[in-house]
This record gives sequence, structure tokens and C-alpha cells, in this order.
Amino acid sequence: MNFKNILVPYDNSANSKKALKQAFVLASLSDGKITIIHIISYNKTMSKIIEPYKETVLQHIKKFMNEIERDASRIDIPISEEILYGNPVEKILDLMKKKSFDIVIIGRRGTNKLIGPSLGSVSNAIIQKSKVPVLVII
Amino acid sequence: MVKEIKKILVPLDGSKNSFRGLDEAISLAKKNNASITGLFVIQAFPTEIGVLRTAIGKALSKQSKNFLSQAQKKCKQKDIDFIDIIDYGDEGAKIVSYAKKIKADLIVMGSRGIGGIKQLILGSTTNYVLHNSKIPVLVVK
Repeated sequence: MNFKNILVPYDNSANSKKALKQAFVLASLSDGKITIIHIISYNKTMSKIIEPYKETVLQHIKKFMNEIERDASRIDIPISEEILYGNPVEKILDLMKKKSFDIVIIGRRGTNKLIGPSLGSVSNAIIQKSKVPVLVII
Repeated sequence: MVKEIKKILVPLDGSKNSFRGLDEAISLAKKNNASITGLFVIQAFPTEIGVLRTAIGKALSKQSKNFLSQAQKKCKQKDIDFIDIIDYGDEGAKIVSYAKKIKADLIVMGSRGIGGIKQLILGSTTNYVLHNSKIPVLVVK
């Protein structure tokens, strides 16, 4: 199988950085393009709390989006980036339904690594529900 | 950059999914110029070693050799180096320890093996490996 269309859910954690690097390697091998999504976890109860900080969060994300863009243009790999609001798992699965990806590359755990098992809840849900191969980066 | 993929470990249990994993591994190996190690773990616990000397044990090891030679044939067609390993013990633990032993860069496995319950979306062995592996795991559907 050719990995032409690669999806990387990104949250700026060490693991997702590694996942992105792996995506660059795979994309350069098969002339693929990478879709990177940033998801701001968001629901009705949290919306009131988050609202004032939305701008700050957005700016923070844009900062590392630019960094990624710079890295990608240096090694000449086409990427597209998106920011989404909502439940991370739902949003990732929605996007996977809409566009057909050949592979998903995801870190084993995201930013929240203090508690819980070594396989994160979002990664776990994606592995279980994905219809395409999932590469789990450790 | 991330380490290039030079050695791929493919746990095989004879199920359709594990062969799908092998196909994926072959196409990856082709691109990366990597070698493939096929690992067949015959489930056995220390108390069952006696069983392995009997007819069931013989049948199992014959079956495993059969599967591994199938895998070898597939790799030979695509001109990829293939090493086969057969071992006895707990599947998940063996896969993780062999990944370390042979210094593999990637494990490719199906989301389910031959285990019975179809409703379980993620197999127990795959789950174990995902939790305990020290190297990236590609889960093939």
C-alpha cells in the first residue's frame, strides 16, 4: 500500500512531534502529503470557561503551526493544517470519514501523561475505530 | 530525523489479519530496504510444556512452520530478506521481548489475531503490545 495521504493528529506533545517526524519520513518515501489537525477540546460546559482564553490558545497553536510549516517547506513535503473545535475523537473520526486517508500516525499518549495507562484514550479510540492502518509512535 | 526503518517485526499467528500485516510490512520493507522477521509464538505456559511434546504440540509446531514458510515465500517473491523465529510462551510478552532482542524498528500487526470473540475490536495481544512496546507499532485493519 502507498501512503499518499497521511493524517497526523497533533497536540504539540513529545509523542506527536515524533509522530510528525515519522510522517515526514513516510511521506518523502512515497511522495505523500500530510494533513495535520489541531483540535481544541471543547464542549458546552467548558465553553464558558474556555471562551476568554480562546484567543490565547489559538495564538499558541498558530505559533507551532508556523514552525511545522517551516520544517515541512525546508524538506519540501506538502502539508495542510486545520484547527478544529470539539471532542478530539469525534473530530478525528469525522475527518477520516470525509477524506480518505491511507494511514493515521498518532502518539501513544498525548499531553496528559501524568495519569492513566500508557495508551492514551484518544489514541485507543482511534486505533479501535479506524478503518485504515494506524501507526502508533512510542 | 526519526530512525529509518531497517528491521520490521511481524508477529504471525496464521490469521488473515496477520497476513494482511505481512503484506503491509512487505510494501514498507520494499520502500525502506528493510528486512522482515516473522515471529510465530506458540502459546504455552511452563505447566504446558509437557503438552508440547505430545501430538498437539507436534501439530502446532508443524502448523507454525507451514505459516512461516508461506510468509517466507511471499517475501521471496518481493525479494526481501526474511528471518523466521518460532518460540513458546505468552504471545504479547514474547513479541515485546523479541522486538528488543533483534533491535527491530517497527512492529506490524493486525488489530485482531485468531482469537475468538469477534466483537472485541482490538485483540488482547495487540493491546498488550501497544501498551508495552518500546518501538512504534503499526496496527493494520
